[in-house]
Amino acid sequence: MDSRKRICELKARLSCIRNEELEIMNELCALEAAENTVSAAKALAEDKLSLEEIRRYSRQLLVPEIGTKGQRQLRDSSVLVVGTGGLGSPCALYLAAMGVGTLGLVDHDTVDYSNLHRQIIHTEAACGVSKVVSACTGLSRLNPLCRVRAHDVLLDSSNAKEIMRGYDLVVDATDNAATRYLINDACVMLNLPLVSGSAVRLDGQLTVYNYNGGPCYRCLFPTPPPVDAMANCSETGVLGVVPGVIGCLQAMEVVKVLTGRKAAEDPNLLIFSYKSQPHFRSIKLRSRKPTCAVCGDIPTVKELVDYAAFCGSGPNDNAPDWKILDDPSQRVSCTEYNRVASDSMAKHLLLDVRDEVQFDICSLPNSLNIPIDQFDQRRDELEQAIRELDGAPVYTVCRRGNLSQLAVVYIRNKLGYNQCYDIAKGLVGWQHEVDSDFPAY
Amino acid sequence: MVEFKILYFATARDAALDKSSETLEVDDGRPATLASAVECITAKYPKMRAVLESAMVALNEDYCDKDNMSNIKLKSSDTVAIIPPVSGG
Repeated sequence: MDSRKRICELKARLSCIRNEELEIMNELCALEAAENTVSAAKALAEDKLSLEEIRRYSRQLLVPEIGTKGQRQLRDSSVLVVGTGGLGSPCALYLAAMGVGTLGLVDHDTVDYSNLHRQIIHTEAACGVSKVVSACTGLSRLNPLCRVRAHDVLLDSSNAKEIMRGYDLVVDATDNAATRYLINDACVMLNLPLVSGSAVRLDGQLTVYNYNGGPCYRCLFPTPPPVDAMANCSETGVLGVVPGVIGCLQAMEVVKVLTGRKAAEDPNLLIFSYKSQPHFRSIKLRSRKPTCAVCGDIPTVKELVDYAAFCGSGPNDNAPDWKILDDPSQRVSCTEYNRVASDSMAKHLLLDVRDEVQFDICSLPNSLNIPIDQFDQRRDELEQAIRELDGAPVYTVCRRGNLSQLAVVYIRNKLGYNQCYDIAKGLVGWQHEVDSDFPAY
Repeated sequence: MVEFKILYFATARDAALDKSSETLEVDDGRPATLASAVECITAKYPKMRAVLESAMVALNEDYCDKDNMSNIKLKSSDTVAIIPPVSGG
């Protein structure tokens, strides 16, 4: 039998089995939770741990720092984790595992294949599924005693306070500046401690804000970071375990706050760096700034604002599509370029303007790689390659069709060569329109 | 002449052409302050100016008020850190 066909058949069967497993898990968890609720409610009323809780958390109960008192503090608390991605995945998993009583999850995204290298609460089977639903499944498998509340919604100024009210603590496990300022301001206004972590490429940061007289996010970072469009388009990336480290530490900080240990610590900013020795540095922070816009003595921010406007970018880490080339005749579609490339008589130069790291992942045949930020340095090389064309066209390409437009502007305006076009939608478009086997990343 | 170490994190490292740390010196006749150290850094890496608008500055792993940098004395072997906010996750 054709092995490709058999692979498809088996995958389809596995998908059915997984869906069935999901249904059974959901019913089982609901029934077990109901069973446990009865005995848990009784234990709660008597301020004791139930038999199940003692069995499950026994190893923790043996740690003097935690004991039955700490375990009850965890059980009787409710924590909201905003974001179920790279940070939220390990954080939510550990919080549920360790016995936080109520865990709220906020996310509006769906699971994507490219999430799986770091978002370990999700599975391949969950690709395309809502992230909070996928996360709930992961948590209920681990610890049905944890009451999980799913908020499948984009957190914004209209709903943040409503969602956050009723929780004892908020965990910022998001991926963009606008949402971080939103969460911070709402926590200050609702008087909630905020365990905030972040990670990108090979670096991470962790602080507990708005707690015990310490600073809030705005005390430390009153000015939002510059909107670096270049950084987005060059795809900064992140090593899977880096947000994992920070997310785990966030769960640890939650335990410290809920058990009261954090009150004895001075506020600090923890910096993690994969490249540094030592990997961790701790920066001592001051108490809250009396002049802070939101938590200061005379706050100027008393209501939640438009954070996308404040930061200059929306509540996501998506890179926008640029519109730099006004004249559509300066762009070609992927299909049109494919015709040119397939015509062995059509001389041309394909200039790939992505950085070398991306070029190494994949590239179109016969492309010359000169990253856009090296155009000035390598101008001679560029001009030489164009001279050898004898008037034939240059096509520029990048991942999404943004930087390639900049390249066309450079070549037409600075080098004065008008036979220059970019390939709209870039290699992502190529994978959709021309060659589905071309690696998308 | 005051020699000091600087640590660059995240986008500050990018602006410092991928260096995580280095040693620089301030030697302009005036008493060295955190402000003069920062001037020294931005003179070497112009892109650091934009980074510093939103970054935190620490001296010997202690948070510093950016509005007060010209009043903070710099000694030899002090360590300055430039810590931009990381937003990703």
